[in-house]
Amino acid sequence: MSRFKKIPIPVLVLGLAAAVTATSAMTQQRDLPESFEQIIPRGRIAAIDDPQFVPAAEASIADDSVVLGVVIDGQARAYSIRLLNTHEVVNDAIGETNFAAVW
Amino acid sequence: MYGRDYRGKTLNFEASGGLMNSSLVMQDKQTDSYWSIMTGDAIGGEYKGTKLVELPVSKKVEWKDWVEEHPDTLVLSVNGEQDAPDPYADYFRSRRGFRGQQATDGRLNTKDSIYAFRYDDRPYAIDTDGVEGGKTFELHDGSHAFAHRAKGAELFEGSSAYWSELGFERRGEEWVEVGTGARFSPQSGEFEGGTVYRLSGFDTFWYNWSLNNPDTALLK
Repeated sequence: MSRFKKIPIPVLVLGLAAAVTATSAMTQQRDLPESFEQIIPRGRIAAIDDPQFVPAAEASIADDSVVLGVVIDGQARAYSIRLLNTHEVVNDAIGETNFAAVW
Repeated sequence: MYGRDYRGKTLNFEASGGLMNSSLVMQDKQTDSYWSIMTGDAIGGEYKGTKLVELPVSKKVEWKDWVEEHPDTLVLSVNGEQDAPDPYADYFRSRRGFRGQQATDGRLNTKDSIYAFRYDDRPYAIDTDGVEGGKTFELHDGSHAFAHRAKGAELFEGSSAYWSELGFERRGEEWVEVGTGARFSPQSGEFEGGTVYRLSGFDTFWYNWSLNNPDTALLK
């Protein structure tokens, strides 16, 4: 038994109208270029906000795997591009430098 | 690689779920502004019309080369994994762009490999064919760029570019800055001394950069 069937029709119509209004208002508010395409909903690809690291000696990573390598304040960090592909963004910091690892 | 400290806020980015010209668009959680990952431009929201600061501290290299250069490196670990299978292997082998997209700018082929950077707010692309071992180019204001690609580098990695007012020249087996004689070390990827600075750019495909930057100056 679906919940949907219990909703009276007038409420459903009002709801739909509100949804349409909300959608067009959102599009206007976004003011995005025509070439922008929403492919999947926001948040479906989880960014990393609290990245964890291991030392090189403990890392299991293929020799020819491409990494994004970063050096800030003499500290080196490597992000496997293949791992980045599934998260797209790592919100990271070294010392006072807050940065986004993307490629 | 972009700085997250922006106009008094520390921004946290995530994928917007959208693309522009086949390139990822991020959103920040603080203002919901939309940012092109390719150019750093805010394309929508509160910060529309502004640009993130690119940090010239990163490069793309194979793990074995990175760890040799930086044995003390830390490695990102996600759920105990530091690497993953390559989901885009077919994409890299194919001659077509993401979702079949093609370059509209015919100066190069869709999937030709380039090194993309900005200088003086202008977009540039260096055709990485022939850059292995080093090559120099003149920029719009008469200054000079030097591009280098590590020998045997795979597609999509290993290129770097440098800027000098004075210029670059080959001296025997080495590249040096004109005037100062600062030598380029292919091992460290840096000039030793001189007035050279490294341009903040990245390896990418021609279609991806040219669709996002139609007024690109192409250096060949």
